[in-house]
Amino acid sequence: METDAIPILKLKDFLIVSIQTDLHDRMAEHLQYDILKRISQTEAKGVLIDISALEMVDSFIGRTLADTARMASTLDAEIIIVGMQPAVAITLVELGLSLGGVQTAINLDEGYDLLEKQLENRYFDDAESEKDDQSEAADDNSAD
Amino acid sequence: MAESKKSQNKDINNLDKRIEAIEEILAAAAGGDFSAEIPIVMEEADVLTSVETGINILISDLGDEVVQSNKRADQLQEKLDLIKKQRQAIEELSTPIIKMWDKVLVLPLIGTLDTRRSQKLTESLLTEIALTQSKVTILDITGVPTVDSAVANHLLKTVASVKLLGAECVVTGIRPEVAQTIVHLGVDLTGVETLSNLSEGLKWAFNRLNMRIVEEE
Amino acid sequence: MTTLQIKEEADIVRVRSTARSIARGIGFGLVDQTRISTAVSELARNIYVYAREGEVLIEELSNPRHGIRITFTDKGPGIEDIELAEKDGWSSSGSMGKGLPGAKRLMDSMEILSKPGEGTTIIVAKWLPE
Ligand SMILES: Nc1ncnc2c1ncn2[C@@H]1O[C@H](COP(=O)(O)OP(=O)(O)OP(=O)(O)O)[C@@H](O)[C@H]1O
Ligand SMILES: [Mg+2]
Repeated sequence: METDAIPILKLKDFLIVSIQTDLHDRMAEHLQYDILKRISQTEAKGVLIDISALEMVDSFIGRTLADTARMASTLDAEIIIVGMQPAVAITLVELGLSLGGVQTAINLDEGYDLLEKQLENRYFDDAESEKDDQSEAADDNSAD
Repeated sequence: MAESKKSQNKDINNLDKRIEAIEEILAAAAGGDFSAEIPIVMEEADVLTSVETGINILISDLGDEVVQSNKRADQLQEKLDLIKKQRQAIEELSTPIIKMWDKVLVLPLIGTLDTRRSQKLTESLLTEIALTQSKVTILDITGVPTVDSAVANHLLKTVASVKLLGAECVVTGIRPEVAQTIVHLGVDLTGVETLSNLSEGLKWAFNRLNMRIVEEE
Repeated sequence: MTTLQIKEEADIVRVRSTARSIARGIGFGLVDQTRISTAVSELARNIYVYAREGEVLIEELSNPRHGIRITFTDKGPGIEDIELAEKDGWSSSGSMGKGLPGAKRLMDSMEILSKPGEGTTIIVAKWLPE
């Protein structure tokens, strides 16, 4: 059985994935691997996964998404799930999955802003933990 | 003499029967049957006849009265049912989702929250969030009289689904007694942002949107 | 009445999307369509994972109320302890144990008939809101 791969786009420090078809299980597993591979190839700091076209997220897809987010963060990249449909969110919660720990955003713009802010904060925190007198300079840098 | 004695005997026999009839009728009335009447022969009217007539009228009136009062009870029940229905309708109508600010929605919850109602509320809230692309939702529960574990679970589900959509959620208006029951019931609200009142909620919302309220000089 | 076979993984997707479109045809709203297709996905996957293959029957109900009934049948290993299998978080395969309890919450009723060694039949139903 052939699976058409879901395209993963790179935009500056981030990757963007848009799921446009109903995901069957193997496809979801492939996507997980593809995303992790691209993160390590590109050293992307964040991934936006747009699921606004997904009409259904069952326990398998939900778990795969949550696992991917955890795996990505061990590769130093944050994953944000973007654009979940209301009916999908309601159903997921009733199913018993609230994807605790997975970051979400209402649309790509908000997701992108969230990733950028986290990236800034990260540089700021790193700098602060090094030396106090240098932290201000680091702060200026991160604003670029 | 003999004849008068005989007629007296007949009268006494009659008296027994008539009193028996009165007793029967009263017993029937006590049992809720007001339809029977004491037979009265007007041609032979005597002292007892007026008593018998009086009892008949009384029981017939009582019967009417009971019918009336049953009717009133039915009407009252109908009205109570209507009020109950209307209250449900009002509860459903009276949950407007207010767009408080750009990207800020407020859902003031009023009344009791059962499964059906809370599912409907969650559905319309999420639809509104998606439609307005809102970032912050304030669930104000000042108007929720009691929060038992079922209601708390409904709230937790609503909060969880709002978060899945990518919006933030804060619960405001938790009254002291509600806070007590929540803790007593062992409901876990960790992970749910809670604030005392709506205006604190609004400040929190502005903060999340990187906005500040500044007083003019 | 629609009967579908589950033999390979892609059938899970086929069954759940068929269930969704039948539910839509019956008149279920968007959220209920999603609840139904998600529950179907869980139960169909259980057949694929635990019994390898089986059959799904989708029926429209009109008496006493309008609704949908879906029957999942397999001749797999069966469920040893049904009560346990219905518990949130219990899994024999190291998974999350969300499928059965979740499907039950998403539908209006769920009935499990199973004999170890003989197979499993699961019947779920949902009624159209008045
Ligand atoms: N059709 C079936 N045949 C045999 N056993 C089954 C079947 N369906 C479910 N089971 C048993 O019931 C258990 C619970 O099923 P359930 O779907 O709730 O959880 P799971 O499949 O283990 O995990 P999840 O669905 O969350 O990935 C399974 O682990 C399995 O042992
Ligand atoms: Mg399962």
